[in-house]
Amino acid sequence: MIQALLGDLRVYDKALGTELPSELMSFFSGELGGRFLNASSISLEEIEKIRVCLTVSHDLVAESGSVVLVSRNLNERRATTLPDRLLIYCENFTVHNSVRDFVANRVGLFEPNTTVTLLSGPSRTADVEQILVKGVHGPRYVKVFLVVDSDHRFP
Amino acid sequence: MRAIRTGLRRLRKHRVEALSKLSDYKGLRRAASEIKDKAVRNLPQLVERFTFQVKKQGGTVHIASDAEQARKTVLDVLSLHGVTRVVKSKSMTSEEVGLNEFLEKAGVEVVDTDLGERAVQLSGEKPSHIVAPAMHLTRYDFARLLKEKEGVEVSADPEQITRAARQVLRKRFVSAQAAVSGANFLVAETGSVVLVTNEGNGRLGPSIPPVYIVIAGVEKIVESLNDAATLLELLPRSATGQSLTVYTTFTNGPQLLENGTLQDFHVVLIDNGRFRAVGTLLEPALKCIRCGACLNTCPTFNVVGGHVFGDVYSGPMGLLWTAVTKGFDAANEFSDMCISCGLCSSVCPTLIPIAETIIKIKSTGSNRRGRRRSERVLTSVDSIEKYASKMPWLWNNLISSSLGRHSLSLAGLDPRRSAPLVSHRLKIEGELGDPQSTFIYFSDVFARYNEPEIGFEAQRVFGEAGLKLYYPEKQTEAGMPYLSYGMIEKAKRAASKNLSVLFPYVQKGYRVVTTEPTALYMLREIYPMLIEHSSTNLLAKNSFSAGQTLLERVGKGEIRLSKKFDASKVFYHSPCHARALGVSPYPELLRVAGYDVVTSDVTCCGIAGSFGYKKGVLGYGLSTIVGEELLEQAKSFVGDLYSTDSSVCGVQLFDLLKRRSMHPLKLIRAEPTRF
Repeated sequence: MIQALLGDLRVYDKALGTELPSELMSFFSGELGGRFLNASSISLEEIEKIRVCLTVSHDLVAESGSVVLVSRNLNERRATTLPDRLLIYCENFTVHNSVRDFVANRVGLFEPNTTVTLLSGPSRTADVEQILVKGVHGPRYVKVFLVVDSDHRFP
Repeated sequence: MRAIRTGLRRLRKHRVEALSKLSDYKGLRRAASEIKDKAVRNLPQLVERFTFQVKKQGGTVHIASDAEQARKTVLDVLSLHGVTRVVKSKSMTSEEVGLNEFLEKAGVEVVDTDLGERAVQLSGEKPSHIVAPAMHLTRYDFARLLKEKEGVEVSADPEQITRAARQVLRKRFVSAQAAVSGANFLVAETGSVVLVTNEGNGRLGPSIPPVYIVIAGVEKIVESLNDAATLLELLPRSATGQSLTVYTTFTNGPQLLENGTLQDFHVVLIDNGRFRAVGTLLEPALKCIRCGACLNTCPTFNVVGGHVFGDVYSGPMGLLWTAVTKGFDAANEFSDMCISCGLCSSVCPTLIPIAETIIKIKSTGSNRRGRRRSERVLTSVDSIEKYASKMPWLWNNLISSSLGRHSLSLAGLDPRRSAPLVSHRLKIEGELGDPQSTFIYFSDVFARYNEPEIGFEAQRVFGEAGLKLYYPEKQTEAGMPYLSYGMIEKAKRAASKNLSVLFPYVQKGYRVVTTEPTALYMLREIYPMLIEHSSTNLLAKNSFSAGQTLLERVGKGEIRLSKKFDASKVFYHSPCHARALGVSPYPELLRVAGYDVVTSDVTCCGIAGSFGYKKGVLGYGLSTIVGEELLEQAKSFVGDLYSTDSSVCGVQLFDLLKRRSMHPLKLIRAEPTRF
């Protein structure tokens, strides 16, 4: 799985990482060298130039096919919205049935000064004659990597 | 116009598909209704809690009593930071308070970032729909606007247009000095701002600049995250048919900028009539979650769109919200367009009695009381026909003559509409039998004076089925035209009279049946609202469509139906009141009798009760345009029989198609299954 991610990231000159656990961050920095940047510590101008972002999620919502992203600062929000491609890595995750279930189970996630986003696909619009077009202001391509091993328990 | 109709039809279809996937739509609706009811009742406390939570996290909450104060507050915050470039994501509330124009005049550039809103902004127009603001624009319009206003050449292809818009708007996002957005919900428990978008502009815009202002009506506040989550299960499904929009964002207070400081975060809560609405007939409007389902289903909105049927807020909820924010007179400027079909109430996710509230709005306000001649005539049909039916031959000759048609025209009615011919008043002889097999017939005007054959045929079919139909002479019209023109007192009087005639039978255990869907709508939905008493409730519970009653007995195996005519197919049009009630037994009834039934697929035949009798564009003209859809479908029907149970739909079908349609009861025979 990590290799698959690496493959996806290697295609680009630079890649962004946000909210990744430190081991993953170190791994990718090591493999990709100075081309893998931590989104929290770079400028807006830098973020603008990068076309791929890798982040993690620990909560999924089944009914709506959503991935939950938590941003603790604005750079993390920018990094997961500006680049064209968003890759989401899920290893330790919980699948909630519905939005209501998610909110009921994860009230603690809604901490002060954070943003909780339920992401349900690539950015889209149907404003032009009701025809669906993907990739408006946010990423056009969203890929979720789920790591499921044999004894992973779903609550 | 066709673009609007197609667009709305798609939204309706998607909504139905999405809601059918919910395991308990009814329960969810009730829960949502309760959440909003509770919030509206506790508004001041919720405002306090919300304010406290936002402040705790380092943000500021302002309360603006009216539009002017709202605008000024926003400008003050912007001026404090020397802001001249703002990006905005869709906010109907910002339209309501006229924010854009005000800021532009003060030298602040405002760029709407929602693609549809930006197109509308560039073309200098107003949104035509609260959810799909650029529904009235074509791809050519978009391409032209991009070229003329942004200097970008792009082919009229939606993908290319979107790609170009993304680039153009991206530049605006990153150079913005402040972001303004609305809010779909505000959560008192955590001070959260909930935004629901597909494009991502709601998430991106406020992520860039050091200043973020949220403007929202006070009624957007709900108590808890769980409450917001419940409403989130309904809003996207009801609006666009999605289980969730792409970006559902909970912004919990001010966010941290890259330099470690907090974004300057402001929430401007707008009153502008909302607090005043609490405790009045407009209070239910505060439960609106802005899904737009009522717009999508409204027959009038489907034809004229939001620029005609509306102000800042359009369609049915627009009528309510214009009354809240600008007063009853402003709402009554376009309340004429409501035909009281009841479909809006039937689709509202938070159970707002929209149609009923519109009726009440129509009866208030001072500018409607100069009653127009046509309305006076249309609300006197019962009285006029009572006398006309004593000399039907005389009346019919007069009304069909050129003098007659001229008189109709002078009375404000359109002479192109077929003249209302009368017969001798309906009389059904017979003794009252027992409650199990005798039904009390409530005819309303048409079957009483214009086409008593309907009554006779109903009597025939019931008789064939071994049942009896009893017709109390002293009943009067159901009273729908009074409601259409806001004459609540007259409607109450008709209700009172009918109640006094029908209730004694209901008390004795009899059921009331109707052949006119509008009459059933009045009995079930309107009378209990006009006269709040247990008697109207009991009458409502014991009122049925004649078709329902027969179908019930078919289901129990007590009666059998067969065709009366030697035709194989029937084109059936389902009246809007029947659909609003959810009572549509006739297609099945006709099928059981052996016919192949083709049903129409329109929201409204167009005549809209008495509306389509009025002279000119806002009457006959509009009703004929609305009727085009139905005409197309009727014309492509290969068969001889046309049917509808609504008297006025029948008139419309005849005027459009030049073919007579028949009440479904005229097409069937019945017999008991055992003697």
